Amino acid sequence: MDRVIDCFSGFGIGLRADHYADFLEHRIPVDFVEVISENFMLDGGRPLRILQQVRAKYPVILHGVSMSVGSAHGLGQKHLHRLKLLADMIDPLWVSDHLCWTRSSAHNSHDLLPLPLTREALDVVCDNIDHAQNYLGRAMLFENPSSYLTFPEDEMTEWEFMTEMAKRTGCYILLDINNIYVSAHNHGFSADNYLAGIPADRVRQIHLAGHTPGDIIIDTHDRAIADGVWALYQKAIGRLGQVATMIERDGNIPPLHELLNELAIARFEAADALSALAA
Amino acid sequence: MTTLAQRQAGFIALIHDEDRPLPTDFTARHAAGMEVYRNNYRTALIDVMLDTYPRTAKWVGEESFRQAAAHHLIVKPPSSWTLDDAGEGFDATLTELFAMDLEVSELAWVEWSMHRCFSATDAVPMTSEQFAGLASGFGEDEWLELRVRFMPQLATRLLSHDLPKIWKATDAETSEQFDYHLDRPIACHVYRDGESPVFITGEMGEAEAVRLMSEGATFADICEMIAEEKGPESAAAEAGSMLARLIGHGMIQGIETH
Repeated sequence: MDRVIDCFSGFGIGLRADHYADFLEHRIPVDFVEVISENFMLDGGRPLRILQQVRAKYPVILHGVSMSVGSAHGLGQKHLHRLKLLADMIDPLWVSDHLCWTRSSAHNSHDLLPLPLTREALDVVCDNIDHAQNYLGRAMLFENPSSYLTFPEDEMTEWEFMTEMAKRTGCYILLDINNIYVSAHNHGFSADNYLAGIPADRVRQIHLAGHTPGDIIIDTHDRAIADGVWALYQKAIGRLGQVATMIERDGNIPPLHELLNELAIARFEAADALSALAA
Repeated sequence: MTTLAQRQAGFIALIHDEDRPLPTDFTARHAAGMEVYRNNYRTALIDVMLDTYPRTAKWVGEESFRQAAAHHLIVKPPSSWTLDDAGEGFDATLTELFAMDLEVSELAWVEWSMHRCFSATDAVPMTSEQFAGLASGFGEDEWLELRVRFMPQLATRLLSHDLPKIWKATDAETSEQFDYHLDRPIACHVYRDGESPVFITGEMGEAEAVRLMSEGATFADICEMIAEEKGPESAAAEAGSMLARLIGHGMIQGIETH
């Protein structure tokens, strides 16, 4: 099994249906695209054909939303099997999912639900990650989620949980800067402490996205990246060095050039942070 | 102490039932956070169903559709790993909710069947010319034993309303509705033509014939079925004509004669 994921320091965006034609007909200045795995875990049809055509032109990352690695009842074997078929077909840069749970033994919420940060949950998550990585024959990345509540039984911080998770399973971390910003606001912890607590050598990718402000900030991915998230991104690059960076947009999807403009800002912010680091 | 499994079962129950009391150890802040998850669940799934059933939504009006979709999520909460399955069984729910307007559930059935076809296994349909080339060498035994393989995810049923006209009406910007009820039911077949899901309608008997053939019935079985209904004289010709029509529409990917 390939347990090592090499660093890949490019800039990319999430491929969405609105932009399929752009990516198929033109050479878009991105270093990779990321797709939602489940949208392509299909028997056939147009989406799979398009993904294969896109893959012929760009490196692709498979980013899942339904592995439910925090489920107390273990992973869904049907989902895992479908994911393996897709990964074998696409040969992605890597495969990622979220540190969350989406389903109980009987029902699926199709939402990224928060985990109690307990030693019991950590054991469950690590067992499930071990199973997934062994089945897929590759190491994976797991993303810190946005969350809107914490649990009275929490025994550690999220960054402590993720650090231990990576240490015990050999998985890597997909650090969503917007999610850190959102959860820090919602739960009153320090985003700087979060960044400082994450093991830099395990981070292979960064997500950037927009959110809806409010008393509780909602991770909506439907607008431009907020200034506070850009500032946190600079700090993250300053701590992590150059890491593959991607912009996620899932609602109010703008013309591609607007996303590419935002990606250009990410390139600039990263370069700025790295030059400050060098100085 | 609450175990993870208990916590997760309780959390899902809280999301499904918005009137369910929160755990006693939850504060006002927890309640506000839970409301976000409840809202995310409801709106995301209803939005997915709007994507799957756009014409049904247009037919009944978006507000009525959202109410029906919310009801469906209560009586049939999603269990599949894929969001694509979130609207499964919605036509049956609509049969109950719109019992006096059964065209609603029939329209939803067509949309759901097209949704399933969209990502079905890729297959190339047999052409009329290919079939003619093979059939030219058939003896009587080959004809009698002839079985067909339909295109993946082909769906067939009887409709009691004029779905082609309803489909066109949902294309139009008019809200005017007519009586689309049919005196005699028609067969409706949903399949994929290239990358595009399509549906066609046909004679009533075609629905049962296609159902039987998809379960392995032979050409002889179909002839017998038609003979029982219409007499033996024209059964073989009618069965052949139906087969030619199904092949002509690209519904069949292959045949077997043994």
